[in-house]
Amino acid sequence: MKIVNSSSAMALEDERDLAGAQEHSHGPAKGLSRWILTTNHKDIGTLYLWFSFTMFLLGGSMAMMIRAELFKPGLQLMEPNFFNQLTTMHGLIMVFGAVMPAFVGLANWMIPLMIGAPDMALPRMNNWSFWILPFAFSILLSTLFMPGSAPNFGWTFYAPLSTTYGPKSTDFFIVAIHLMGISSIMGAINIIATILNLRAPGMTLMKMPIFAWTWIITAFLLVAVMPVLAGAVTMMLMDRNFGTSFFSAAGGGDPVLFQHIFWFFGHPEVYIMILPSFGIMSEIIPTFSRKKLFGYTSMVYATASIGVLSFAVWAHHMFTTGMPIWGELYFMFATMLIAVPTGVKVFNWVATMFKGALTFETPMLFAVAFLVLFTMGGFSGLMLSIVPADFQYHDTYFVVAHFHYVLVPGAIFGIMAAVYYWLPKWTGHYYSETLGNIHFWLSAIGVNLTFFPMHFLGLAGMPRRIPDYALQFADFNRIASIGAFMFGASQLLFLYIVIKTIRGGAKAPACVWEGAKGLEWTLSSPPPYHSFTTPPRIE
Amino acid sequence: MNKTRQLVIKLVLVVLFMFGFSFALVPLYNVFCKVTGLNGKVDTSHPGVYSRYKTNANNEDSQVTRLITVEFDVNRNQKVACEIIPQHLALQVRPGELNSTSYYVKNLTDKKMVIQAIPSISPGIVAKYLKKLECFCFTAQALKPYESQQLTLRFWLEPEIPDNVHRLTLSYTLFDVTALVYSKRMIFRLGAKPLATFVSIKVNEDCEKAQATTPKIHSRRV
Repeated sequence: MKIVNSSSAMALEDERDLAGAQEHSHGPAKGLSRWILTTNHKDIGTLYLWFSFTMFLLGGSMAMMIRAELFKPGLQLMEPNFFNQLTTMHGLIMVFGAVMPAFVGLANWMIPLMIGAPDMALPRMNNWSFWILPFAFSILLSTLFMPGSAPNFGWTFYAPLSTTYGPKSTDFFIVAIHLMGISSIMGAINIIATILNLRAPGMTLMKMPIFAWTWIITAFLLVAVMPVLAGAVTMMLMDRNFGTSFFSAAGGGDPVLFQHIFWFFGHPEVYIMILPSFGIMSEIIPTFSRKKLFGYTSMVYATASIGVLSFAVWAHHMFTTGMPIWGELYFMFATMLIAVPTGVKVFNWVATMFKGALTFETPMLFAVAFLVLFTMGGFSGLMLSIVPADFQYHDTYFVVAHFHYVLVPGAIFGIMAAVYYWLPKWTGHYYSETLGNIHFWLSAIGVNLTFFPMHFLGLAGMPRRIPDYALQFADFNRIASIGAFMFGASQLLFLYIVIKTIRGGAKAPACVWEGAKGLEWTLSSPPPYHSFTTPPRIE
Repeated sequence: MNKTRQLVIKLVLVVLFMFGFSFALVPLYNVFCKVTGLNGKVDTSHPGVYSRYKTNANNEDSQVTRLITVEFDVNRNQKVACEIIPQHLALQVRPGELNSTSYYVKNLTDKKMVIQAIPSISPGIVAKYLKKLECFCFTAQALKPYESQQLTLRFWLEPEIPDNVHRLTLSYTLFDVTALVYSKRMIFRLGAKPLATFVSIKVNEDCEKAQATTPKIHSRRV
C-alpha cells in the first residue's frame, strides 16, 4: 500500500483542517458536556476504553474475591450463594463490560484513522450506543443490592435455573442484557457502515488494514447473534412473568432448547471476543518484525471462515445433555475443523516473525505472549472437542483453564498490546518502556500461575462454580490464588502507566514505531480532533 | 449519506430477522426432535393410531420371538406433593402388540392439584417407535385434595424398531402445574382457561371416565 500524500501535503491539509476548525469552532467542547454530547470518534473511543477499563477492574476485583475464597478449602469469607453471584457477575462484566466495549473503543479510535475516514459513519448513534452502557451496567450491578439475591446462575444463565428458580432480580438482569445487546448491535452497524462506505478513495477491501478486516467480520457476527441473545432473554422474561413455557418441561417446553439458543449466540460470541485481537496481532507483529504481514489474503479468508464455522459448532458446549451419536460426531469434527483456519493464522504470524528484524517493545511482548498462550488455549479447546474426553472434562476446572487461556492472554493481552501500541498515537507521549516491561512480565507470570494449575485441577476432577473443594485440590488452588492476586495487582500498575503517559512523557512523532505502516501513522501524535476531513488518496 | 442509510436499513432488517429467527428456533427444534428422536421426546399432542394389521405386516415369526423390555421410571419434580407408583417396574413387550399398564397417583395435600407428566425415552433414538394409544400425559390431571387415581397408559412398539434395541426406559417426570393453570397473574388472560390454550396444557378433570374401559393386557410381567 502506497500513500500518495507526502508528509508536506498532509501538513498542508492539517493546517487547512485547523483553519476550518477555528472558523466553525469544531474543537472539543469544554467540561463534562464534551463527553456527554460528543459525536467525535476519538472521544467516544476514549469513553469506551475507560469504561471497559473500569469494568475490567470491577470484574477483576470480583475474581479476586473468588480466588480469596478458594485460597484454601472450606468456607471462610462468604456464603455459597454470594459466591455464585460473584461468578455470575464476574463472567457477565468481563464479557459484556470489559472485552467487548474495549474492542469497540479500539475500533472507534483506530478504524477511521486506518481507513482515512473523517469520523464514524453514524456519529450520533455512536454516542447513543456508548451511553447506553453505563445505564445497562448500573442496572446489572444494582441487583447486587436487591433483597433476595443478585443473579446467581452463572453467566450462561441456563434455564430452569434462571427461569423457574432464578431470584427476583433476574428481571433486571434481563433488561440489562437487552440494553447491552442494543448497544453492541448499534456499535456493530456503525463499524460496518464506516468500513464499507467511508474508506479513502483507492483503498479497496483487499488493501484494507487487517484490523479493519477482522472487525468487519466481528461486526457481522454481532449483528447476526446479538438478536438471538435478545430472543433468548425475551423468552426467559415471558417464561418468568407471562406464563409461557419455552423452557419449562411442565408446559411442553424444553430446558435443553435454552442451551441450544444460548450457544447459538454463545459460540459466535467467543469469536467476537477474539477476532479483533487477531487483527491487533496482525498489526503489531509486522511492525516489530519490520516485515510485511505474511499471507495477508489467507489471513482474511481464515478470519472469514472462522466467522462462518462459528455458527456450526455450538452444540460442543452441551455434549453431556444427551445427543445421538451422529450429532456428537458432527459437532466434534466441525469443532476440530476450526483449528485449520486458526492454525493458518498462527503459522502466518510465526512466518511474519521469521527472519524479521525483531525488537521486543511492550506491545510486541504482549503479542508474542498472545501467540504462545492463545495457542495453548486453542489446544486445550481441541482436547475438549473430543466427545469422550469432554464427558470427563465437562464442568470441571479444565474448562475454566481453557477459556481463561483464550480470553485473558488471548483477548485481554490483545487489548493491552493494542493500548501500548497506539497509546503514543493517542496521547502524543511514549509510555515508560521499563514500566511497560514490568507490567508485561508480572501479567504474563501471573496469568500462567493462575490458570495453568487449573488444567491439573480439572483433570483431577474439581468441578467449576463451587466455593469449597476437597482437600486434595488445596495446593494447586493456592498457587492459582497467588497468581491471581499477582495478575490483579499488576493491572493497577497498568492504570498508573496509562495515566502517567496521558500526563506527559517523551514526545512521540507521527510515525511512533520504526516499522509501522498505515494511514494512522501519517497523522500527528496526538492526531488533530478532526482528521482526514479531506480523504487521502491511496494507490 | 443515502448509501449509508440504505446499508443501515439492510442491517436493521438482518437484526430483526435474527430476532425472529431465535423464536423460529423453537418450532424448528421441536420438529428436529420429532424427526430424530433427539432428547427422547415423544409426541404427546395426540394419541397414535393403532392398527392391528401392523403386527402382521412384517415377518410375524421374528416379531413373535422377539421381546423387548420396557422399564417404567417415574420422578416427581421438586416439591410436587403427590405419591406416584407404577403398576409395573418393567414389561416384556412384543413389537406391534398393544400393551397396558397403569400408575397409582395420590394427592398428598389438602388443596386441589393439577399435575402434568412429561415423558422421556432412553435411548432417545427409539422414541419415535414408541406409540401411545392412551396416556395420562396427553393432558394435565386434576386431583382433588387427598384424591387417589389409577392412571392408564396404553402403548405399543412399532415393528420397525431397530433390531439392536432390547431394552428401553420410559421415564415420566411429574410437574405441579396448578399455579400455571389457575394463575391469577396472567397477563394474557382472555377467558376462563386462557393459559391452557396459551401454554398448550389440557386439563383432564374427569379421570374416572377415561378408565371405564378395562384394557386388554397382552404383556407379561417381569
